[in-house]
Amino acid sequence: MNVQPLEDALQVEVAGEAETEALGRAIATLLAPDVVVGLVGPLGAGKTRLSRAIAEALGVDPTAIASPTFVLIHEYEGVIPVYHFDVYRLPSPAAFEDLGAADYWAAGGVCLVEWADRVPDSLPPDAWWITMAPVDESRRTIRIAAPADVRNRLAEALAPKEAP
Amino acid sequence: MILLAIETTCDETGAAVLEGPTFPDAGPLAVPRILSSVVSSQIGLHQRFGGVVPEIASRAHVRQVVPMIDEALKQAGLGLKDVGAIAVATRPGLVGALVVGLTAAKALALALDVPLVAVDHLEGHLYACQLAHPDRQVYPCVGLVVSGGHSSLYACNGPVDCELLGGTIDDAAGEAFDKVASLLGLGYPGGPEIERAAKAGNPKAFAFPRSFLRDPRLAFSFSGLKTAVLYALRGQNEERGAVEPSPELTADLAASFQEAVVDVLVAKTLQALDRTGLARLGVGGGVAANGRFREKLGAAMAKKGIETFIPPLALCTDNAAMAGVALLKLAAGQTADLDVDVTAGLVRPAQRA
Repeated sequence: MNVQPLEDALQVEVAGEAETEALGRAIATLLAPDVVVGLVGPLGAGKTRLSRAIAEALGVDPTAIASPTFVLIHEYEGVIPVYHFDVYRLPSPAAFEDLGAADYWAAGGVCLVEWADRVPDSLPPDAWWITMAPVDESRRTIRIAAPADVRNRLAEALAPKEAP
Repeated sequence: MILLAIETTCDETGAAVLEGPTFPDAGPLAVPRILSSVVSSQIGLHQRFGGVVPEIASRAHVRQVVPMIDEALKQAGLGLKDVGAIAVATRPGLVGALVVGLTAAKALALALDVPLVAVDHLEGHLYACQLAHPDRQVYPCVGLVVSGGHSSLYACNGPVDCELLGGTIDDAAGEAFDKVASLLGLGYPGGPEIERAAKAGNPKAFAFPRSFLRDPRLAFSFSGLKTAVLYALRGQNEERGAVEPSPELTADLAASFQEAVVDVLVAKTLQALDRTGLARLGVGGGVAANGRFREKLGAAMAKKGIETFIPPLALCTDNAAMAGVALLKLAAGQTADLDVDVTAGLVRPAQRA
């Protein structure tokens, strides 16, 4: 996993699902209630895979997690609640807001919003943004825009451990 | 007992009138008779956006729910005064859509002073097997619901006693059909489009992944398959220096994709039957309409001597008649209070009532 701090984001290159899962687990340790995370990337980029890794690390029953494309919002119980959204089928930001999405932003859980780039202004201004760009079938370049201290701690958590 | 049933969990507004058997004199199966069942297919509205649009779905439900109820009663030759109970699917589905049906059902139950029964949409899908085969015993059985929003296996002791064995860990089978159809530039809904394109294709042209095929877990995963189709398409296009796939390539990708989905559905169903020791299978959901799926499932079940029930298409896709399962709940005294709420998302097994 290649980790590179940029000016306003942390860029992580993952090769394979195992590394995506490791990244999800690291992100989960930094999440707190009322953090909203927007997930961006084309079909097959791995948004649901990363959401699953984050939710599992937050103690959600793995069998409860699935793509919310059809029902739009899945609510999971974890050590803190996880609200899993999908904007894929929505025609407009107004339709997203009509669903009452904003009611979840401060409901005491972590919000993961897939296809959030379709409703950028509907997310709170302090939302974290994770943009996933496929390089080839298994590799992804993942850009994480979050507060500086979060990015620093994430970079630290992802740094290769020194051999004992 | 005349039951009026309402269905608005997703993109179909449905209403149905059923005549229930008289309890406790009902026969061993006590299967109600469908007097009428109407759905106002909203496909025309949704086609523009390449998928179900929930906000539009809610608005359309509001517009259509009363006319659907009127039409169902008219076709049954009955009036509201004849209705003895109201059934409505309250989970799972889209919140905005579910509440429209539930509100209509509550209003009618209150105005007519008759019991309200809340049913599970997925139990309804499986009960459609019993409605379609009133003289054959369907339960106990393994239940397989494959649709746009669900890919789940159940062990069903009875119509309202279904235990979830496993479901998808990412995309549902019907969702995979829709998304792959979108990748291939085919229309919505994806199932019939892929099936049509696949007819001219070679199902062995691409060796797509069959997730969990040999895994003991009763779970599905169709996300990796979707990604594999994407990269196969991209690779072939680059080789040919084209942006659009040729009709031959589209056909081969569609056929190979469909074969992979069908192989996994059949294999996991066999695993569930082995695991539970049950000898019957009930199938529900729109994907059950897929010809290749019916063909391969039928062959596999015949080989194993498993009695298989697949309702006709109108009872496979979303409809209100399947909420006729409410009559059994009514007989058991399981009515809903007027403050009952909808349950939108996945209901975890531990919470299933």
